[in-house]
Amino acid sequence: MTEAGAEWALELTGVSKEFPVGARALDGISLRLARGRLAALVGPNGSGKTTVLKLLAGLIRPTSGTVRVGGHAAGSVPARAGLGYLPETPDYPGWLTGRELLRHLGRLSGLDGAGLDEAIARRAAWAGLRAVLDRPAQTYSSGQRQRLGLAQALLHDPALVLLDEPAAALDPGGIAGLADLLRRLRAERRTVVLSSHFLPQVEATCDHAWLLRAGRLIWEGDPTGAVALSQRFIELAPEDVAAG
Amino acid sequence: MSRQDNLSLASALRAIGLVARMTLSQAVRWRLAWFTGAAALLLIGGACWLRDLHFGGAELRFLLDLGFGAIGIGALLVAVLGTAHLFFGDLDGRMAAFVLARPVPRTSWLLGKLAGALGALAFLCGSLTVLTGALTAGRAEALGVAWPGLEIVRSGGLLWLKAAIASAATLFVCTYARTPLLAGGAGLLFVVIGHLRPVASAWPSEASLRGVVGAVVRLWPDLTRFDPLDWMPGTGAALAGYGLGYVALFAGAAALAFSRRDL
Amino acid sequence: MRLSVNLPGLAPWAVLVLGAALLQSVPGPPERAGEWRLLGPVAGTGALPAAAGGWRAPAADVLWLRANLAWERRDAVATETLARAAVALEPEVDYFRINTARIIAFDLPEWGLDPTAPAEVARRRRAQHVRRALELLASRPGDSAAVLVERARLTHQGLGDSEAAGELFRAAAERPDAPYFAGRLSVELLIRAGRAREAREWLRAWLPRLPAGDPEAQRARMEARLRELDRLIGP
Repeated sequence: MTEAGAEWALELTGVSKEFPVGARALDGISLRLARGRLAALVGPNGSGKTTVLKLLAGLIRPTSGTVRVGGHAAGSVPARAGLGYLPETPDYPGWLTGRELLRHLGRLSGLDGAGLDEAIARRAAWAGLRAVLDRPAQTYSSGQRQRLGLAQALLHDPALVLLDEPAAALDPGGIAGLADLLRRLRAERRTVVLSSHFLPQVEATCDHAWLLRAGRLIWEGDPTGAVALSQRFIELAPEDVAAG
Repeated sequence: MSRQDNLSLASALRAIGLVARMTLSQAVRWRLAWFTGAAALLLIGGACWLRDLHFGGAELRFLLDLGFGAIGIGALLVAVLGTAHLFFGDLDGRMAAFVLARPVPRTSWLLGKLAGALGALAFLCGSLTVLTGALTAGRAEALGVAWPGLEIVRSGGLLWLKAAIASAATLFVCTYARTPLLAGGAGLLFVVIGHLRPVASAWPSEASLRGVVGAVVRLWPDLTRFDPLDWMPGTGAALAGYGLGYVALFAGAAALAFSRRDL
Repeated sequence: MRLSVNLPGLAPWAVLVLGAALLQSVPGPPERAGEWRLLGPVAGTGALPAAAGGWRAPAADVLWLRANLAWERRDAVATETLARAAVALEPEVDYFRINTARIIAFDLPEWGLDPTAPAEVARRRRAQHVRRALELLASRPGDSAAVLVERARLTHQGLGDSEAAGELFRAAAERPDAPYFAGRLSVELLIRAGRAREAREWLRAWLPRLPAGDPEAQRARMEARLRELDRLIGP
């Protein structure tokens, strides 16, 4: 790991991913992000956004190329120790309360005792779940499930947070709440990568964006630049806009 | 082993324990397990009709056979279908993603799932064995024959060990399968083949083919060894080694396969 | 054409094959391949699938119950087939072997026997059945004393062979789980077969194993018999 490499919160170099059924999800993409930034992966369905997040989380391995998180190989225990992950449409064992789920996952992150209880209380308050924390997860609304997912991702104060479609299944109030949560994450100087279809939110909250299409990186930059991200999307992926 | 290695080993073992506890909680909430246990219970209790046939002392033997048969089939069904359910439940329900995005070795998660499943099987076999023992104790007194308490406990242990092998083998299949249906079906087929080993040496009739089939089947765990009636004194340690050896083997192979699986 | 081999992908299978090969060195019970052929006549009754699912013992019990029902109907073919199938599934269970042998030896020859048939025909028929029953009780490793006693009984009562029966009773008496009468019968049958000296020497060696306080053992009576034999045979 070079001195330069230590600056990057994450780094994908020449990464391709092919699944056993022959589908090529990623085709030689390279991207990296400095620490403390808030970035978004955008693109139509099937463009490879979730694949990138799963590669970073170590849940899948690249067919070729390298993926590094915080200077460590993605998927290694040190890499995973410093990240929090929220999958798309999170689901939980319905009989577990929010507190029991956070306790279980917190212990697996190496937290215990009073430190764990304090972390649960803090993140539950941060996510607005204090009132429902001791209710079974099956009684939660979709917004509460999403926020429980965020709470578990942040429980152990990770440096890198990966959020897959955090706005999915949220109503306008929920989306506004999510924007607020993202701003707070930025204030905590965490590195955040999220995937989203909701371009106005990306333009409003993120300071970097990657536009993917059919597994390729076709554009990256400041989503609030001279040309709005939504306009770039229309220019660079017209067939997908038409199909959508 | 360095202190770092010791810490890693300690945290890996801790993770196994945490996952095992959660898996056990999931298992006891799985309706099919309760249904299977209830069916086995009915079968054991229903065997009391044998007293109407007046077999004398042999009635106790029949009671035990039916009791062990019910425990055996119940445990095997729960072992195969339950293991597949517990594995894919976490995979499909995102719990696996929550856990494995954390600094938890994949092997720890997998072994924790297996440990939880084996714990649930121990509960099932143990409670049904106690019930069989209680039913036969009363009947033995009425028939004036000795009550084989030690044999009953030993048989419960043998049946658990057989189910443990089936569970570990199913877990290995799960690491390749994409659906619980495929994994469960393969697991049940594994059980059937394991019970037909005595037939394999006599089939097929073609000698060269028999050699090939025989070589494959001979590597298959012989599940008939765990039949309570086949017990021979002095073989306990060897049988335990054989059974636990296969459990460890399938668990190890599953860990190797799972380390490469995309989630 | 290049052949690419996914070595890491083969690792789990290599571990399984090697480990399983090692585990074959763990001794197990003898395989029972041959007896499975006897299940042929009961194909379609669910016995084989039941056995394949680990329900061998209950399947054998059900077959035995069905054999008993056939016995009540005096259906010789069904009785013997079902009873033999129970034995095939559970050959270690003495109850099935012994009772099946008794049915074959003593019940089947009487069913369907023409009451007007000559005595010689009836005798030969019974002897044939006894021999078939004895085949069922043929020596296997680990045979219990009960099986040996039954073989002796059939040999004596069914075939009238006192000498062979005496030897079988003697073999049974030497087992720790044997009934005491096996030894007593052995002595008397061998004496009847003209092997009195041999019977006496065996009795002398066997006597110390009889417990003094157990009335079933009849130790005092056997001691008196030994003294009588000494008087009759001499040194």
